[in-house]
Amino acid sequence: MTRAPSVQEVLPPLPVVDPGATTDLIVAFIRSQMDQTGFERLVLGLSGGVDSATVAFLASRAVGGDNLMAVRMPYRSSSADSEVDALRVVEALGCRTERVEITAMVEPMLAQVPDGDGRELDVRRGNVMARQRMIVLYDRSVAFDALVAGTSNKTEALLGYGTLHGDMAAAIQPIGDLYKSQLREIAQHLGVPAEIIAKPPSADLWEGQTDEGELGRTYDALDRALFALVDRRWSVERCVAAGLERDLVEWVAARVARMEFKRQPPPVAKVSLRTPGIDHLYPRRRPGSRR
Amino acid sequence: MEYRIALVQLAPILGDLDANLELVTDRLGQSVAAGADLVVFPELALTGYLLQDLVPDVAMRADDPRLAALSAAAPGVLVAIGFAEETRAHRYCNSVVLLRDGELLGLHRKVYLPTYGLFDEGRFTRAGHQIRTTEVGDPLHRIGLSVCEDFWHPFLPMLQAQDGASLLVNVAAGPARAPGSAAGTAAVAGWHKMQETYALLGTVAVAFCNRVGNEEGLTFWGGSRLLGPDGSVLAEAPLYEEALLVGVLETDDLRMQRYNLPLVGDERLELVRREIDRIIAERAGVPGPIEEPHDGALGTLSSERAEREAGRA
Repeated sequence: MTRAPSVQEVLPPLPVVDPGATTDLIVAFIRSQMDQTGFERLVLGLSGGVDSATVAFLASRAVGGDNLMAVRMPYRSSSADSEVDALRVVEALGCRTERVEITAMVEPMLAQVPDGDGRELDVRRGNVMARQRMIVLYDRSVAFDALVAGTSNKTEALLGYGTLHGDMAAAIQPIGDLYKSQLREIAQHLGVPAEIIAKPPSADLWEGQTDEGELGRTYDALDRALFALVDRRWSVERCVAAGLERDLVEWVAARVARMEFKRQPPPVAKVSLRTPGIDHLYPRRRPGSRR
Repeated sequence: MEYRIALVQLAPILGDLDANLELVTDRLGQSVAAGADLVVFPELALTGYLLQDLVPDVAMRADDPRLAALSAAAPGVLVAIGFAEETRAHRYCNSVVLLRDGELLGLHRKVYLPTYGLFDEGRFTRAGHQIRTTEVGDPLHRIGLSVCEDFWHPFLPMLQAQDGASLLVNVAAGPARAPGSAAGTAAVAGWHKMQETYALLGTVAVAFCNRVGNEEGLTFWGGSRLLGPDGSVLAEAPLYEEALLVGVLETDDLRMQRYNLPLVGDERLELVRREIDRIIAERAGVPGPIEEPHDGALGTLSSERAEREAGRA
């Protein structure tokens, strides 16, 4: 009698990554972007999670701790542990840091426009918080004379698990092509504190929230499905035949399609002979674009 | 005799012709100081790669005085360099020129413009229509120029070998994908395999000059290489870093390799052309040229056709 294959042998693989080569590439990318835009400094929101910690380590390698401003922006319900972890990163890197609590900015907005409750209010609050943090970051970027480094990863971008004009707003996206499961390896390679890598990923919008709880799937399963569907261009049927659950694959495929709007600039109604984004096409960094 | 080839693995500044001319002039000077007989710069070295609608702003004629002046600054040295070309008829091409003493010796316009995946070249430039080689005198005799994607089409280097090239020069702007992973390594390995295969089967030396640096989200991987006419690697530049690689080609090796392995001389171009003509005709839905009566030894003719031909005989 043959032994039933174990789960690992059956499922489509997680995307692999070479942490050394990938880190070198991203650091060179950041330096090149600084050079091409004429900036020397970066600012980012440091939550204490693995994504922003990883970007902070990459940014610090690229521009140095003195040229990096990590802004901590807790809300009244934010976990105290998150801030402890954020400070671990600041200490490890010797970068600059500021604390701007957003509670007093978010509450009046929600109080002035009271609408919805329960889950709906949670979503509204989460969006207002994310957008308020964006306002703080862009404000601090002027004072610190810096570009805003984004901390969105590929899993989030594909699933649209982020707030448009909120946490998705940035001048550059250093980890935007790395899946969550790949990020942990990069984080380890960079020396991100183990506590940060080990804890369950969370948007920390309310107490006890975890990404995996909210998405209803593990990042491991999501990344396997995304890697198969997106990078390898497998059909849903092939993913299912390869051992992924049909519900998961169909949900992921539908979500990737539905969230396309978050990944692209909005469509422009073409009325002229030459239209930005349609037939007026230029590289973002070009002569004259450097400040 | 020893022939020294410099491969200048640099990072041009996107869209900045003046800055790139300065950069290239500087590296050319260093190459000449290193004793180079031929200096190769990457694809679009004078303009950068992701030009999009900048093409008409930075394109120049192949006989542009700036190119001539660049070459004239290195007397007696061959210079191959990629640039955005505007032809006299205002066609915009991704081209490479071969110059010496300010004189334009050869020109190749990229024949295969990748317009798939992350590439969008066919949107902004037009394809070339010639696959030629350039007479450069002894000891190399003829050089075949090509640009990046051209090398993924094996007819091109093999035609150039048949056309008398002793050296194939491919200038490139190859973007990295999934660095270090199996997929990323496979892309680089693909380049290596093809270079080694063309060198071996064409019994030609191969000079591959790939750029480095970043444009938008792309990172170019470098890894420029010089191969001997037996496919062996004579010199190799690092990945991702700027480098000035000087390799030495022993031209006697070419002579003996072509005696030992006379593949180029044994090629049957008439046969190849007949079969290509047939494939083209069949694809177009017209009957191929009438074949000579088959002796039947291979038994490949259909019985009906064999009968017909037997009747005709």
